[in-house]
Amino acid sequence: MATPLREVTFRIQRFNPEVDKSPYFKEYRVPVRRGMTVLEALLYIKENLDATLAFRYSCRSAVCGSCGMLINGVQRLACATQILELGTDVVEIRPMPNFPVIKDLVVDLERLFRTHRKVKPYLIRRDLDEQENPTKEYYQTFKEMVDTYLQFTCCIKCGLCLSACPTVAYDKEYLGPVALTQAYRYIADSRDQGFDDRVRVIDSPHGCWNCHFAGTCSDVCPKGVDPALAIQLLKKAIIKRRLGLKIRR
Amino acid sequence: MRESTLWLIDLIAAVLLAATVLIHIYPFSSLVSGIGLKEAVTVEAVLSRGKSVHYLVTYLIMVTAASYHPFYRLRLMLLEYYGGDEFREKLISAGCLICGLILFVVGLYSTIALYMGW
Repeated sequence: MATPLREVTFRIQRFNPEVDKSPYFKEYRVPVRRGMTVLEALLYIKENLDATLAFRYSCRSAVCGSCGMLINGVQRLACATQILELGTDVVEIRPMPNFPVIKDLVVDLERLFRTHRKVKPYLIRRDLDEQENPTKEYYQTFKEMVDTYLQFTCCIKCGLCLSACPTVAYDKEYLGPVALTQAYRYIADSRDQGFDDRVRVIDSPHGCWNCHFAGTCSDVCPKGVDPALAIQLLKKAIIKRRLGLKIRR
Repeated sequence: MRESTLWLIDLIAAVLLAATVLIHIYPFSSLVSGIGLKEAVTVEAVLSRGKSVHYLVTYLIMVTAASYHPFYRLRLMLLEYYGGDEFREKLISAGCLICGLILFVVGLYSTIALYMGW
Protein backbone atom coordinates (compact mmCIF):
# COMPACT_ATOMS: atom_id res chain seq x y z
CA MET A 1 0.00 0.00 0.00
CA ALA A 2 1.28 3.48 -0.89
CA THR A 3 2.40 5.80 1.91
CA PRO A 4 -0.26 8.35 2.98
CA LEU A 5 0.46 11.78 1.55
CA ARG A 6 -1.60 13.79 4.02
CA GLU A 7 -4.57 13.71 6.35
CA VAL A 8 -7.91 14.93 5.07
CA THR A 9 -10.91 15.79 7.23
CA PHE A 10 -14.15 14.13 6.18
CA ARG A 11 -17.21 16.06 7.31
CA ILE A 12 -20.05 13.59 6.93
CA GLN A 13 -23.74 14.18 7.41
CA ARG A 14 -25.19 11.69 9.86
CA PHE A 15 -28.87 11.00 10.36
CA ASN A 16 -30.81 8.09 11.68
CA PRO A 17 -34.54 8.91 11.34
CA GLU A 18 -35.36 6.41 14.09
CA VAL A 19 -33.13 8.15 16.65
CA ASP A 20 -32.14 11.66 15.52
CA LYS A 21 -34.43 14.65 15.32
CA SER A 22 -32.38 16.34 12.60
CA PRO A 23 -29.24 15.67 10.56
CA TYR A 24 -25.86 16.66 12.01
CA PHE A 25 -22.24 16.55 10.84
CA LYS A 26 -19.46 14.41 12.25
CA GLU A 27 -15.79 14.82 11.34
CA TYR A 28 -13.20 12.10 10.75
CA ARG A 29 -9.49 12.41 9.98
CA VAL A 30 -8.41 9.99 7.25
CA PRO A 31 -4.82 9.38 6.01
CA VAL A 32 -5.04 9.77 2.25
CA ARG A 33 -2.70 8.24 -0.32
CA ARG A 34 -2.47 8.93 -4.02
CA GLY A 35 -5.34 7.51 -6.06
CA MET A 36 -7.50 6.90 -2.99
CA THR A 37 -11.20 7.35 -3.65
CA VAL A 38 -13.92 8.78 -1.41
CA LEU A 39 -15.41 5.28 -1.18
CA GLU A 40 -12.11 3.93 0.14
CA ALA A 41 -12.05 6.72 2.74
CA LEU A 42 -15.58 5.80 3.81
CA LEU A 43 -14.55 2.16 4.12
CA TYR A 44 -11.52 3.26 6.19
CA ILE A 45 -13.81 5.23 8.49
CA LYS A 46 -16.21 2.30 8.86
CA GLU A 47 -13.41 -0.19 9.56
CA ASN A 48 -11.24 1.96 11.84
CA LEU A 49 -13.11 4.97 13.22
CA ASP A 50 -16.88 4.53 13.29
CA ALA A 51 -18.61 1.26 12.46
CA THR A 52 -22.07 2.88 12.68
CA LEU A 53 -21.58 4.93 9.50
CA ALA A 54 -24.03 3.77 6.80
CA PHE A 55 -23.45 4.06 3.06
CA ARG A 56 -24.30 1.98 -0.01
CA TYR A 57 -21.75 0.54 -2.43
CA SER A 58 -21.08 -2.53 -4.50
CA CYS A 59 -18.82 -2.68 -7.57
CA ARG A 60 -16.17 -0.02 -6.69
CA SER A 61 -15.68 0.69 -10.39
CA ALA A 62 -18.46 3.11 -11.44
CA VAL A 63 -20.61 0.40 -12.96
CA CYS A 64 -23.32 -0.43 -10.43
CA GLY A 65 -24.30 3.17 -9.54
CA SER A 66 -24.81 2.40 -5.84
CA CYS A 67 -22.49 4.93 -4.19
CA GLY A 68 -24.00 8.22 -5.41
CA MET A 69 -23.67 11.04 -2.87
CA LEU A 70 -23.14 14.78 -2.59
CA ILE A 71 -19.38 15.30 -2.35
CA ASN A 72 -18.30 18.90 -1.74
CA GLY A 73 -21.69 20.06 -3.00
CA VAL A 74 -21.64 18.09 -6.25
CA GLN A 75 -23.42 14.83 -7.05
CA ARG A 76 -20.73 12.19 -7.67
CA LEU A 77 -20.04 8.48 -7.36
CA ALA A 78 -17.83 7.92 -4.30
CA CYS A 79 -15.95 5.11 -6.06
CA ALA A 80 -15.09 7.30 -9.06
CA THR A 81 -13.99 10.37 -7.08
CA GLN A 82 -10.34 10.63 -6.08
CA ILE A 83 -9.87 12.59 -2.87
CA LEU A 84 -6.72 14.48 -3.90
CA GLU A 85 -8.37 15.58 -7.14
CA LEU A 86 -10.99 17.43 -5.09
CA GLY A 87 -8.15 19.73 -3.98
CA THR A 88 -9.55 20.47 -0.51
CA ASP A 89 -8.42 19.58 3.01
CA VAL A 90 -12.00 19.16 4.12
CA VAL A 91 -14.32 16.90 2.15
CA GLU A 92 -17.99 17.37 2.94
CA ILE A 93 -20.26 14.44 2.19
CA ARG A 94 -24.03 14.48 2.29
CA PRO A 95 -26.68 12.05 1.04
CA MET A 96 -28.13 12.75 -2.43
CA PRO A 97 -30.74 15.53 -2.31
CA ASN A 98 -34.25 14.89 -3.70
CA PHE A 99 -34.39 11.44 -2.09
CA PRO A 100 -35.58 10.53 1.42
CA VAL A 101 -32.73 9.49 3.73
CA ILE A 102 -32.87 5.97 5.11
CA LYS A 103 -29.74 6.37 7.21
CA ASP A 104 -26.65 8.59 6.94
CA LEU A 105 -25.62 8.46 3.25
CA VAL A 106 -28.12 5.79 2.23
CA VAL A 107 -31.15 7.17 0.39
CA ASP A 108 -34.40 5.59 -0.72
CA LEU A 109 -34.29 5.22 -4.53
CA GLU A 110 -37.92 4.08 -4.80
CA ARG A 111 -38.87 7.13 -6.90
CA LEU A 112 -36.14 6.36 -9.43
CA PHE A 113 -37.31 2.79 -9.98
CA ARG A 114 -41.03 3.69 -9.90
CA THR A 115 -40.68 6.34 -12.62
CA HIS A 116 -38.31 4.13 -14.60
CA ARG A 117 -40.85 1.30 -14.62
CA LYS A 118 -43.61 3.70 -15.80
CA VAL A 119 -41.98 4.29 -19.21
CA LYS A 120 -41.71 0.56 -20.00
CA PRO A 121 -37.92 0.44 -20.41
CA TYR A 122 -37.73 -2.55 -22.71
CA LEU A 123 -38.28 -3.31 -26.40
CA ILE A 124 -41.96 -3.61 -27.25
CA ARG A 125 -42.99 -5.56 -30.35
CA ARG A 126 -46.40 -6.02 -31.93
CA ASP A 127 -45.55 -9.17 -33.92
CA LEU A 128 -45.93 -11.67 -31.10
CA ASP A 129 -46.09 -14.66 -33.46
CA GLU A 130 -42.78 -13.66 -35.02
CA GLN A 131 -41.27 -13.23 -31.57
CA GLU A 132 -42.36 -16.72 -30.56
CA ASN A 133 -41.29 -18.33 -33.85
CA PRO A 134 -38.68 -16.07 -35.45
CA THR A 135 -38.19 -16.41 -39.20
CA LYS A 136 -35.50 -13.79 -39.75
CA GLU A 137 -32.77 -11.78 -38.09
CA TYR A 138 -33.65 -8.34 -36.74
CA TYR A 139 -30.86 -6.48 -38.40
CA GLN A 140 -29.80 -3.12 -37.05
CA THR A 141 -26.87 -1.24 -38.53
CA PHE A 142 -24.13 0.19 -36.36
CA LYS A 143 -25.04 3.65 -37.66
CA GLU A 144 -28.67 3.18 -36.63
CA MET A 145 -27.42 2.45 -33.14
CA VAL A 146 -24.67 5.06 -32.79
CA ASP A 147 -26.55 7.96 -34.35
CA THR A 148 -29.67 7.52 -32.27
CA TYR A 149 -29.59 5.85 -28.87
CA LEU A 150 -26.23 4.26 -28.06
CA GLN A 151 -25.02 6.84 -25.52
CA PHE A 152 -28.31 6.56 -23.63
CA THR A 153 -27.75 2.85 -23.03
CA CYS A 154 -24.78 3.77 -20.83
CA CYS A 155 -27.08 4.97 -18.02
CA ILE A 156 -26.35 3.00 -14.83
CA LYS A 157 -29.41 4.31 -12.92
CA CYS A 158 -27.30 5.80 -10.14
CA GLY A 159 -29.82 8.61 -9.59
CA LEU A 160 -27.26 11.45 -9.61
CA CYS A 161 -29.20 13.23 -12.36
CA LEU A 162 -32.47 13.00 -10.43
CA SER A 163 -30.69 14.34 -7.38
CA ALA A 164 -29.32 17.32 -9.35
CA CYS A 165 -32.54 18.13 -11.23
CA PRO A 166 -34.31 21.29 -9.98
CA THR A 167 -37.68 20.13 -11.34
CA VAL A 168 -37.48 16.83 -9.45
CA ALA A 169 -36.96 18.89 -6.28
CA TYR A 170 -40.41 20.46 -6.31
CA ASP A 171 -42.53 18.35 -8.68
CA LYS A 172 -43.07 15.09 -6.85
CA GLU A 173 -44.71 13.46 -9.87
CA TYR A 174 -42.14 14.51 -12.50
CA LEU A 175 -40.74 11.50 -14.34
CA GLY A 176 -37.20 12.84 -14.18
CA PRO A 177 -34.08 12.43 -16.35
CA VAL A 178 -33.55 8.68 -15.89
CA ALA A 179 -37.04 7.61 -16.99
CA LEU A 180 -37.26 10.14 -19.83
CA THR A 181 -33.81 9.26 -21.15
CA GLN A 182 -34.69 5.59 -21.15
CA ALA A 183 -38.01 6.32 -22.83
CA TYR A 184 -36.13 8.04 -25.63
CA ARG A 185 -33.54 5.27 -25.75
CA TYR A 186 -36.28 2.76 -26.66
CA ILE A 187 -38.35 5.10 -28.84
CA ALA A 188 -35.23 5.83 -30.93
CA ASP A 189 -34.47 2.12 -31.31
CA SER A 190 -35.47 0.91 -34.79
CA ARG A 191 -36.57 -2.46 -33.34
CA ASP A 192 -39.07 -0.92 -30.92
CA GLN A 193 -42.79 -0.49 -31.62
CA GLY A 194 -43.90 0.82 -28.25
CA PHE A 195 -44.19 4.55 -28.89
CA ASP A 196 -47.94 4.62 -28.27
CA ASP A 197 -47.56 2.61 -25.05
CA ARG A 198 -45.11 5.12 -23.63
CA VAL A 199 -46.49 8.39 -24.96
CA ARG A 200 -49.45 8.39 -22.55
CA VAL A 201 -47.03 8.70 -19.64
CA ILE A 202 -44.40 10.88 -21.29
CA ASP A 203 -46.80 13.33 -22.96
CA SER A 204 -48.35 14.48 -19.68
CA PRO A 205 -48.02 17.53 -17.38
CA HIS A 206 -45.41 15.64 -15.34
CA GLY A 207 -43.64 14.22 -18.39
CA CYS A 208 -41.01 15.58 -20.75
CA TRP A 209 -42.66 19.02 -21.13
CA ASN A 210 -41.80 19.79 -17.54
CA CYS A 211 -38.06 19.71 -18.22
CA HIS A 212 -36.78 23.28 -17.80
CA PHE A 213 -33.52 22.41 -19.50
CA ALA A 214 -31.32 23.40 -16.56
CA GLY A 215 -28.83 20.80 -17.81
CA THR A 216 -27.59 19.79 -14.35
CA CYS A 217 -28.49 16.16 -15.11
CA SER A 218 -25.96 16.10 -17.94
CA ASP A 219 -23.35 17.93 -15.84
CA VAL A 220 -23.31 15.33 -13.08
CA CYS A 221 -23.71 12.11 -15.08
CA PRO A 222 -20.68 9.92 -14.28
CA LYS A 223 -21.05 7.95 -17.52
CA GLY A 224 -21.11 10.89 -19.93
CA VAL A 225 -24.77 10.41 -20.82
CA ASP A 226 -26.60 13.60 -21.80
CA PRO A 227 -30.13 13.23 -20.37
CA ALA A 228 -30.98 16.87 -21.16
CA LEU A 229 -30.36 16.11 -24.84
CA ALA A 230 -32.46 12.94 -24.66
CA ILE A 231 -35.39 14.88 -23.20
CA GLN A 232 -35.21 17.52 -25.95
CA LEU A 233 -35.04 14.76 -28.58
CA LEU A 234 -38.02 13.13 -26.91
CA LYS A 235 -40.01 16.37 -27.22
CA LYS A 236 -39.01 16.57 -30.87
CA ALA A 237 -40.06 12.96 -31.48
CA ILE A 238 -43.47 13.52 -29.88
CA ILE A 239 -44.12 16.71 -31.86
CA LYS A 240 -43.01 14.98 -35.07
CA ARG A 241 -45.39 12.12 -34.40
CA ARG A 242 -48.23 14.56 -33.61
CA LEU A 243 -47.59 16.29 -36.94
CA GLY A 244 -47.54 12.95 -38.73
CA LEU A 245 -43.83 13.09 -39.54
CA LYS A 246 -41.42 10.18 -39.36
CA ILE A 247 -39.20 9.87 -36.29
CA ARG A 248 -35.53 9.47 -37.15
CA ARG A 249 -34.19 6.16 -35.87
CA MET B 1 -56.05 17.42 -24.97
CA ARG B 2 -52.54 16.03 -24.93
CA GLU B 3 -49.78 18.03 -23.27
CA SER B 4 -47.80 18.18 -26.52
CA THR B 5 -50.70 19.97 -28.24
CA LEU B 6 -50.99 22.49 -25.42
CA TRP B 7 -47.21 22.99 -25.48
CA LEU B 8 -47.17 23.51 -29.25
CA ILE B 9 -50.00 26.06 -29.03
CA ASP B 10 -48.08 27.79 -26.25
CA LEU B 11 -44.97 28.09 -28.41
CA ILE B 12 -46.99 29.60 -31.25
CA ALA B 13 -48.78 31.94 -28.79
CA ALA B 14 -45.43 33.08 -27.35
CA VAL B 15 -44.07 33.94 -30.81
CA LEU B 16 -47.27 35.76 -31.79
CA LEU B 17 -47.30 37.62 -28.48
CA ALA B 18 -43.71 38.79 -28.94
CA ALA B 19 -44.41 39.96 -32.48
CA THR B 20 -47.66 41.78 -31.68
CA VAL B 21 -46.22 43.42 -28.54
CA LEU B 22 -43.40 44.79 -30.70
CA ILE B 23 -45.95 46.22 -33.14
CA HIS B 24 -47.93 47.59 -30.19
CA ILE B 25 -45.03 49.42 -28.55
CA TYR B 26 -43.22 50.51 -31.71
CA PRO B 27 -44.93 53.92 -31.89
CA PHE B 28 -43.94 54.50 -28.25
CA SER B 29 -40.31 53.73 -28.92
CA SER B 30 -39.26 57.38 -29.13
CA LEU B 31 -37.65 56.85 -25.73
CA VAL B 32 -35.08 54.60 -27.36
CA SER B 33 -32.56 56.73 -29.20
CA GLY B 34 -32.47 56.32 -32.93
CA ILE B 35 -35.60 54.21 -33.14
CA GLY B 36 -39.17 55.21 -33.80
CA LEU B 37 -40.82 58.57 -33.51
CA LYS B 38 -39.12 61.74 -32.40
CA GLU B 39 -42.18 63.19 -30.67
CA ALA B 40 -44.42 61.80 -27.96
CA VAL B 41 -47.70 60.26 -29.19
CA THR B 42 -51.02 61.74 -28.10
CA VAL B 43 -53.80 59.66 -26.59
CA GLU B 44 -56.01 60.47 -29.56
CA ALA B 45 -53.38 59.12 -31.93
CA VAL B 46 -53.13 55.91 -29.94
CA LEU B 47 -56.90 55.46 -29.84
CA SER B 48 -57.22 56.21 -33.53
CA ARG B 49 -54.84 53.34 -34.30
CA GLY B 50 -57.42 50.96 -32.91
CA LYS B 51 -59.79 51.99 -35.67
CA SER B 52 -57.57 50.66 -38.42
CA VAL B 53 -58.11 47.10 -39.67
CA HIS B 54 -54.40 46.31 -39.34
CA TYR B 55 -54.34 47.18 -35.67
CA LEU B 56 -57.66 45.39 -35.13
CA VAL B 57 -56.11 42.17 -36.46
CA THR B 58 -52.89 42.77 -34.48
CA TYR B 59 -54.78 43.32 -31.24
CA LEU B 60 -57.07 40.32 -31.80
CA ILE B 61 -54.00 38.14 -32.21
CA MET B 62 -52.35 39.75 -29.18
CA VAL B 63 -55.43 39.28 -26.99
CA THR B 64 -55.75 35.64 -28.01
CA ALA B 65 -52.07 34.90 -27.41
CA ALA B 66 -52.01 36.88 -24.14
CA SER B 67 -55.04 34.94 -22.89
CA TYR B 68 -53.37 31.61 -23.53
CA HIS B 69 -49.60 31.93 -22.94
CA PRO B 70 -49.44 33.20 -19.32
CA PHE B 71 -52.23 30.96 -18.06
CA TYR B 72 -50.71 27.86 -19.65
CA ARG B 73 -47.40 28.67 -17.93
CA LEU B 74 -49.18 29.48 -14.66
CA ARG B 75 -50.97 26.15 -14.88
CA LEU B 76 -47.63 24.36 -15.32
CA MET B 77 -46.15 26.09 -12.28
CA LEU B 78 -49.19 25.33 -10.14
CA LEU B 79 -49.18 21.70 -11.28
CA GLU B 80 -45.50 21.41 -10.40
CA TYR B 81 -46.05 22.76 -6.88
CA TYR B 82 -49.50 21.45 -6.04
CA GLY B 83 -49.99 18.55 -8.49
CA GLY B 84 -50.07 14.86 -7.68
CA ASP B 85 -53.78 14.59 -6.94
CA GLU B 86 -56.07 14.11 -9.96
CA PHE B 87 -58.90 16.27 -8.60
CA ARG B 88 -56.55 19.08 -7.62
CA GLU B 89 -54.88 18.97 -11.04
CA LYS B 90 -58.25 19.21 -12.80
CA LEU B 91 -59.20 22.11 -10.52
CA ILE B 92 -55.97 23.96 -11.38
CA SER B 93 -56.44 23.36 -15.11
CA ALA B 94 -60.09 24.48 -15.00
CA GLY B 95 -59.20 27.58 -12.94
CA CYS B 96 -56.52 28.64 -15.44
CA LEU B 97 -58.87 27.98 -18.36
CA ILE B 98 -61.60 30.12 -16.82
CA CYS B 99 -59.16 32.97 -16.04
CA GLY B 100 -57.85 32.81 -19.63
CA LEU B 101 -61.37 32.85 -21.05
CA ILE B 102 -62.36 35.85 -18.91
CA LEU B 103 -59.28 37.77 -20.06
CA PHE B 104 -60.00 36.77 -23.66
CA VAL B 105 -63.62 37.99 -23.53
CA VAL B 106 -62.63 41.30 -21.87
CA GLY B 107 -59.79 41.81 -24.36
CA LEU B 108 -61.97 40.89 -27.31
CA TYR B 109 -64.68 43.33 -26.19
CA SER B 110 -62.15 46.15 -25.67
CA THR B 111 -60.54 45.62 -29.06
CA ILE B 112 -63.84 45.47 -30.95
CA ALA B 113 -65.28 48.39 -28.95
CA LEU B 114 -62.24 50.50 -29.84
CA TYR B 115 -62.56 49.57 -33.52
CA MET B 116 -66.29 50.18 -33.66
CA GLY B 117 -66.07 53.35 -31.55
CA TRP B 118 -68.57 52.12 -28.93
